[in-house]
Amino acid sequence: MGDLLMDNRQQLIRNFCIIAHIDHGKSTLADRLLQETGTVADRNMKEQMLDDMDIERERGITVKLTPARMKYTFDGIEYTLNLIDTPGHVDFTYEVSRSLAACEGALLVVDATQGIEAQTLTNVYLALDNDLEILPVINKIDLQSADVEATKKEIEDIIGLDASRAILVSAKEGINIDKLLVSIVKDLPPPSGSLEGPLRALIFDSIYDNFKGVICNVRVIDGKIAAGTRIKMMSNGKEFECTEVGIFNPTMLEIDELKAGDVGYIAASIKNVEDTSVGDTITYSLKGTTEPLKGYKKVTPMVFAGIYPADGSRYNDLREAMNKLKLNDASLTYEPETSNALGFGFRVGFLGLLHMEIIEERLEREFDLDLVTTAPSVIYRVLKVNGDEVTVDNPTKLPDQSIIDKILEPIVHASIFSPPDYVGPIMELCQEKRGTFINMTYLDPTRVHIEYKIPLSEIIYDFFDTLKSRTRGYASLDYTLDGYNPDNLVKVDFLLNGDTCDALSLIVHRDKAYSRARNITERLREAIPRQMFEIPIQAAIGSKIIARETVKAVRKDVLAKCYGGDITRKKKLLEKQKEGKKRMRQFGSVSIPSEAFMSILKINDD
Amino acid sequence: MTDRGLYIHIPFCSGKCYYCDFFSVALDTEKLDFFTKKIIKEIEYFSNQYPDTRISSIYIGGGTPSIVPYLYIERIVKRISDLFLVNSEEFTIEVNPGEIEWVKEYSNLGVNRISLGVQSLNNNVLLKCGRRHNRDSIIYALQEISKYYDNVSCDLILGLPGQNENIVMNDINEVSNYVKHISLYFLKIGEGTKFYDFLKNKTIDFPEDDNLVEIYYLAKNKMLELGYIRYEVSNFAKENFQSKHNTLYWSRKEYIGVGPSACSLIGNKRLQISKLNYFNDKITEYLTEEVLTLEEMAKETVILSLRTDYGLDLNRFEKTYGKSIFQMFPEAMEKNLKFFEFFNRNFLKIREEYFLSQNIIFEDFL
Repeated sequence: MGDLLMDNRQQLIRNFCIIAHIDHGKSTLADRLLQETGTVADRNMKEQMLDDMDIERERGITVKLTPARMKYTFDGIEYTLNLIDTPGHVDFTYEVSRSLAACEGALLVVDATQGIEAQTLTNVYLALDNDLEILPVINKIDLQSADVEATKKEIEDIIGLDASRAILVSAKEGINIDKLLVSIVKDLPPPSGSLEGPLRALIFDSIYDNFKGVICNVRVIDGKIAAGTRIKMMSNGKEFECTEVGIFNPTMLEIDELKAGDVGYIAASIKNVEDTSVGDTITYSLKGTTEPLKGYKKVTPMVFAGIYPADGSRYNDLREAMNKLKLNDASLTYEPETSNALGFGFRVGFLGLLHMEIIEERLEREFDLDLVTTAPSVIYRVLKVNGDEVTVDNPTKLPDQSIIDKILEPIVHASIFSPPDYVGPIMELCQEKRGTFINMTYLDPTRVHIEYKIPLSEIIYDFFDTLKSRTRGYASLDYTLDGYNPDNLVKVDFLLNGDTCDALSLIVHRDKAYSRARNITERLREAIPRQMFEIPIQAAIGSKIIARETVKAVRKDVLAKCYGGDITRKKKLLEKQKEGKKRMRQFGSVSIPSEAFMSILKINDD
Repeated sequence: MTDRGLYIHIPFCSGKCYYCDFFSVALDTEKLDFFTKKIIKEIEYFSNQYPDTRISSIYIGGGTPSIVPYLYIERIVKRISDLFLVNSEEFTIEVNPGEIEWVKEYSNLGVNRISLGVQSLNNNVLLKCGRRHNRDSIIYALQEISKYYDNVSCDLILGLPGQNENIVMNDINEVSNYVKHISLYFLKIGEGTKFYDFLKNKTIDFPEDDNLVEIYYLAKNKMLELGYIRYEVSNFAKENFQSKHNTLYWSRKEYIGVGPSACSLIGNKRLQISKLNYFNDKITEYLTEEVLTLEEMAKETVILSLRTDYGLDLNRFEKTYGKSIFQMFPEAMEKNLKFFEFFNRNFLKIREEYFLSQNIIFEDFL
């Protein structure tokens, strides 16, 4: 077989992803494509096929990217279409950029009833940066409230794409899916890359399999790979023998060989999770390339929290679970941490609050762990009077007030899209959250784009929930990190029975310190059960007490009658009562239920 | 011979009070025959199994034994004296006000102590907890019983809806004219009771715990004034009128229990008559046996003896279990030492200010 034929093979591949805002129908559209191409038989079809995780299906969001290979015949020629599903939430921009790097094209899905949202825009820019061909798809055209013309105008005005070739579909009703497939074949470019050159395969995701070891999801850019090929990880020089290659059909299916342009997976009996990293390039051990692929920009986590096992004896299980999750979620960073109240755990960095929630849920569900999570914090830069600078990702580690010159906090550039009716409430919210107004643009009579600079700590607190509730869910939010600003920040400590409980400390603006402290002490009073003695709960800035509550002592916990036959029964009753208290943390002489640490996570300032 | 107490559970009641989670059924002749036969069979079983038994006290409880026609009670007691050597210093039967028909006759059987379920003397409170009698019928019952018995006890419940300090003080004052012994129980709202539903649905208000503690101590002081001594967390008696039968339970002495849901302690064995399989003919089918380990027994000793005002006998503990309580439960002892006091050198007690929170201490021993 000559080169011509090989090139021809690549001509028949299309690698693409879907960019969409949450709820704009991305997963449903992916389902339709799988059905229309016969990749999944109707009877095996479950909704949102590519959303593997229970969390994804339940919450209706995509967190992980899941690839699927489809066959599609057009004009008598069979094409291979590789779809890489992408997450739509602001926290997962990183995951999006990873799937973009494995594709040549992207479908930009816009809901005809909603128009473009903040997050769509970010992802479109990412795709354009990656030189992807973007194909606009207008979804939900079957709905009464669909406004196709206005949506087209938005695509042209806001993004600057030619909307005349936009495909109008209804993923739910299966309208025009065939037209979309034709357009994917005709309008998206085939992969370039050389089959003859040395292997270069980009790892865009990986998971751990108990039998096969680490499985790397890859896009082969150049060359080919089969079982038996000796391979090398370019970032660390580790070598392995490939044991299996395959494609996603959409479940894993072993094949003989992956070639330039293909999307698939590689297993190589890699037992050590740390030996592979997402974004790395795989090449041959011998005569490999010397030039790795561009890879990804390393993401910096923005939100930090302590994660501890509710049952302290399960620290090792937690550590193992974190290792395995890390493999699957390259954006996760963590290091061991000790707390005087919670014992051994980890300081974990997240991309955002949703990411944090997802990680907690995955740890609890996939690894059967009960967790205690401390209040999320951002990274502060602290300038000391002696001129030194330290970064602080855990309020407990804030240096003593007396040696601090300034505390700088991360600021984000927040971009909010909303109907004009809610401009008032949105601006009010941004002011409350210490925001600085930048700009406001009316895109059309129904949509306005508002930009603010806001401290990230305010965003991660309850900004998103409040925004959604004050705009009846209409506003969408995106933000990017935009430097550091100094402000009047203080650390608030909480003392239980006179001792500072480190897991509860937080850094907050001085103006809000009192109301926050009052709020939290009240919550703690409710969450901590009455014990044999009175427990004072105090909030303090330095040595100054700013709020106080008291958990009164138990007055009565006594069995009524305790006669003959009752003893066994009563003993069981006491044992049950004791069991219920097992999840409590012993802090000095005070028992604190795990829930107490959690109850302070979501509170409102008033 | 081994001294053992005997408890007989009579499961009949004319209705279910809102707080009750004891085993009881409505009275009918067919069931009466059935249960009486079963109870007698059980008595026979125990006399065969443990022929070395000498009955030191008898307690007929329920349910409401006093609604069962005398004839049946007589039949049961006769069988006991046929089969066992009886040397009962104390023979109690539980009686419900309004259901006192055979009170006088009980003395013919050797009954020398009556326990009357008063609960409250306040008509409003009685109504709210589903009692089927009123203040007048209680006073009448107390007067009638006092004609024939010197040793009379009554039960009062603390924590009933509508109750307050004055009502409880008043009740104590009045019953003290008739009784030598008062059991003052905190209301426990068990699952499956009417009160449980009331509490869940917030149908009626129950007094607050803190308030009840206040009332308990006012009541305790009142009773001390009236010449009663507290000898267990819920039990008060005039000198020498402490219940011998109940003291047996708290000091882990041996006892036999017959009737549905009754329980026995013999040696290191706890035998439980299950009410589940009760209709089965063979007693072994519904009698479960648990052999207690030394540690289990030690735990029970702690839980039971620390409820009493005698406290835990440290010498006896060490003799019985081969280790001191400090060696047996080092962590629990260290953690709770501040809640304990020692008296008479060899007795351990919970300090009064923590006495009503005793469960929290007990949990550490389990």
